[in-house]
Amino acid sequence: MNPVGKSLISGVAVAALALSVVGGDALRAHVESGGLALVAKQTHPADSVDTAGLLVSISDVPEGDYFREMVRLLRREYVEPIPNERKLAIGAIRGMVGSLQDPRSLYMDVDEFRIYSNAASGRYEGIGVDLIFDDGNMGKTYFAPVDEPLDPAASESIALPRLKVVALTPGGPADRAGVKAGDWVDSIDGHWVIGPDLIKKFREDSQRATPSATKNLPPAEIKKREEIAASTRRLFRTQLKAAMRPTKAKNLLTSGVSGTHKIVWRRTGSVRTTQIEKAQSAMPQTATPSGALALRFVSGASERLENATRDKTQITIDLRNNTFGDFAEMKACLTVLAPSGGYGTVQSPRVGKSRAVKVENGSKEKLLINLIVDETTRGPAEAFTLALQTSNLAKVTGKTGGDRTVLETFSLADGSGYTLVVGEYIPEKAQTKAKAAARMDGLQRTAARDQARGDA
Amino acid sequence: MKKALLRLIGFSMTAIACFTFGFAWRDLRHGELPLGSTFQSLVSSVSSKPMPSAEQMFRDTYNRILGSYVRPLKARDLKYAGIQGMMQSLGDPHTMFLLKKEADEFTTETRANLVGIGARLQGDLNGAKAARVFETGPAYRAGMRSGDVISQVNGKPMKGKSLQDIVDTIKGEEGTSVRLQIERASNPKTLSVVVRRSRVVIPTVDSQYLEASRMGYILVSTFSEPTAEQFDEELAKLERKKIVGLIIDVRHNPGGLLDSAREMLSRFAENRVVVKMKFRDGNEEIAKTYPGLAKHFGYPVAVLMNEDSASAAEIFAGALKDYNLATLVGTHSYGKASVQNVFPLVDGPSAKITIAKYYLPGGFDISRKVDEEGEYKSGGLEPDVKVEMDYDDDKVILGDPKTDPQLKRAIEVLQTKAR
Repeated sequence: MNPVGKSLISGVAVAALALSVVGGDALRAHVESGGLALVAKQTHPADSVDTAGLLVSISDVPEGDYFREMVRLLRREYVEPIPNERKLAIGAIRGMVGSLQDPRSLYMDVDEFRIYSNAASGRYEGIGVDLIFDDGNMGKTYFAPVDEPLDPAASESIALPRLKVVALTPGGPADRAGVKAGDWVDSIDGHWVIGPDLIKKFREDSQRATPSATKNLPPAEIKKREEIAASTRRLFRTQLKAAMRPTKAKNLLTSGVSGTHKIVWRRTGSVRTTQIEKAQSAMPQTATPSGALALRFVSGASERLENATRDKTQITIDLRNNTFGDFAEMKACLTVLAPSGGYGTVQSPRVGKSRAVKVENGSKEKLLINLIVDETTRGPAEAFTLALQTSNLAKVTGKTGGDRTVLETFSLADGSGYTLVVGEYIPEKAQTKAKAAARMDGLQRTAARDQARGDA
Repeated sequence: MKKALLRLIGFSMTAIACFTFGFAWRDLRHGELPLGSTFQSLVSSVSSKPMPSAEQMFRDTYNRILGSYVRPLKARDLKYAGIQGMMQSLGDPHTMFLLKKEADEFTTETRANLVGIGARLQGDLNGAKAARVFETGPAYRAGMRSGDVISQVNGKPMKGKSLQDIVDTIKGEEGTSVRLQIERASNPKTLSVVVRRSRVVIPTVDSQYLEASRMGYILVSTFSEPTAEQFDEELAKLERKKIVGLIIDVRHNPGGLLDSAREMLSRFAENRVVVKMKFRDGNEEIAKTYPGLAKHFGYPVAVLMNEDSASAAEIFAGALKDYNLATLVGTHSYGKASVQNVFPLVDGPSAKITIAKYYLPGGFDISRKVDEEGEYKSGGLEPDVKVEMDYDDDKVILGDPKTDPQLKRAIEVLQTKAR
């Protein structure tokens, strides 16, 4: 081969080697950030939001840019290296969902989300219960974020939701121990899950003993009130010292398949102590003894329903212990059973956000539908019942739980996820708009945050 | 033929080596070897669907919540909540995103200076209690005293309102007035005062002459801009009484400005090491006390500290211990061994970020370690004389030598030293 050719080949070879080095680095960038470093620049033509840019110019920075620039600031200044940007994104998502201060809109980490998804399909761990943070219709109150430690200084002015049982696996550990829907958790192994009742008592007893409340009372009465206030304060401090965060309590009771715990339950007028061992349990797929269909609103539900109703003239569906699931899947099930038409609304107080629940290409068959429900029928199952009941399409035995909150569930890239309240289900021909609006007002909150002191 | 094949193989292997070198470059540059998991993620990223970027994940959820949530939301508040969460996920309790209001309060605290009535308020069931009325402020001049409960502001009842709301109602423009209704325990009648809002320098230092032991007691509540000066003033008052010992109390002092602690330490020793700081890029910096400010303390000194003594307070106590100029009495301190910087952002909020770790002159690391519950495991500065105390005990009055066990012990220690 001639010398020109040889040097040409050598030149190409060296260039190829150099490219390999660059290619290796570029691929590494891709792996680290989930996008080729070069391409990222192209998809943000309006970038050049210089790191200093965030510190000196532009007034309302779009959220994506803000996030990116904050990450850059941290990379530049924070004393430790930033290993994982996605972890920061998850932190941001937790912050956003938490800022809603809504006991029903919750972020769940990978383990919590797995448990939630399994439970939706009927597979349970722990003591076999569905627990919710129940706001008890407290109206205008500020709720402490359920997964943060209780700040004693702020605790005097915040409300806490109750950790309440809304359903149990039949024959599961909690059911066998006599726990009932409506019970809420008072303490687990001596650790208190502080709820609204003690806080209310603390505030009332303390207020009744203040100088202005006792101004013109006989000394004996004043002494009595002071003693009651002191005793309640001591109780509150004791419980605070041995408190367990509501989220921790919820996770403890719903995860794991071994271990025994002493749990004290409350309901209006009674307190009960139980010793419960965790185990696997399940919601039935068919209910005994009648063989009714226990329909869980998860992916595949409408197919199951189709198969169960094909060539049949009647169907009995047991919707007890059915408190959450996918609203869209529930609508698909409605489509299997009900003729086309309107079946109420998912109402939202936001303008233009209410959505009609419509069935298209509905059933043309005449089917005798029996529904068995009770107070453990909530969420999509309750909406399903009301939709069929108010259209006179089903015979219903029992009364539903009264929870018409419509939730959407979202999963995230790392296996965690969150629920988001998107509205309330209002069946056709139901309460007037005014009543529904009033219930929405009950969900308004003032986001007042107390400090231990304020300098004025 | 064989030679060409060998050449090709040789070239390919060199190319692969170059590629691997490029891939591992960012680790090699820092003197580390790439993790095995990095190569694993290479395989998975090539074979499976690409994971969304961090920014995309944030944007998607932001838009979803803004679009679907049942209640109306302010987009900006949601965005800020996201950034707050993002900074919280670092797991550093001192690195955070401060909203404009919080950033302003932080500045007020470090400057110890604001426009108001001159009182420190606490929550109370009937309104707000003035835990402290600053003697140099307008509220004191108008007749308010510590312990007074504000039940009405400009005729509006404050019962049931949050402390923050009450503080906001009381604050206002410099020169304007506010009418306050006061409940005082010693007076069955309700009092009314009119206070003119003025610029107030918040006292961060208080002193007391302890008659029985003839010692001086100085309480330093934060290390703010005027603290060292305020310390000088209070010390001068005490030295006029010819004290035979001095107790400096930094219990529950959350810290503040490093420079403020440095200034105060300069009264005790000059050109001595205060702290050694280590930054992100490995850079180190040493802070020393200023020259020319040291005075002679003709009596022994003790410093009171507890688990709530943090940051500048720990540095102050630790340095004095290292210089052998004071005895530390109480319980171990918090263990905050880091320095933060506040970066103001264009749209109002600020980012408070830990930029360095610090080490006390002795060289050792006092950083706090906690267990999974967030409970203290180790860290902080250890006292010379350990005294436990229950701050919830109603009989204890901090700063009262008759009922404050830690103060009592400090007095005893100094009396032994004086002999």
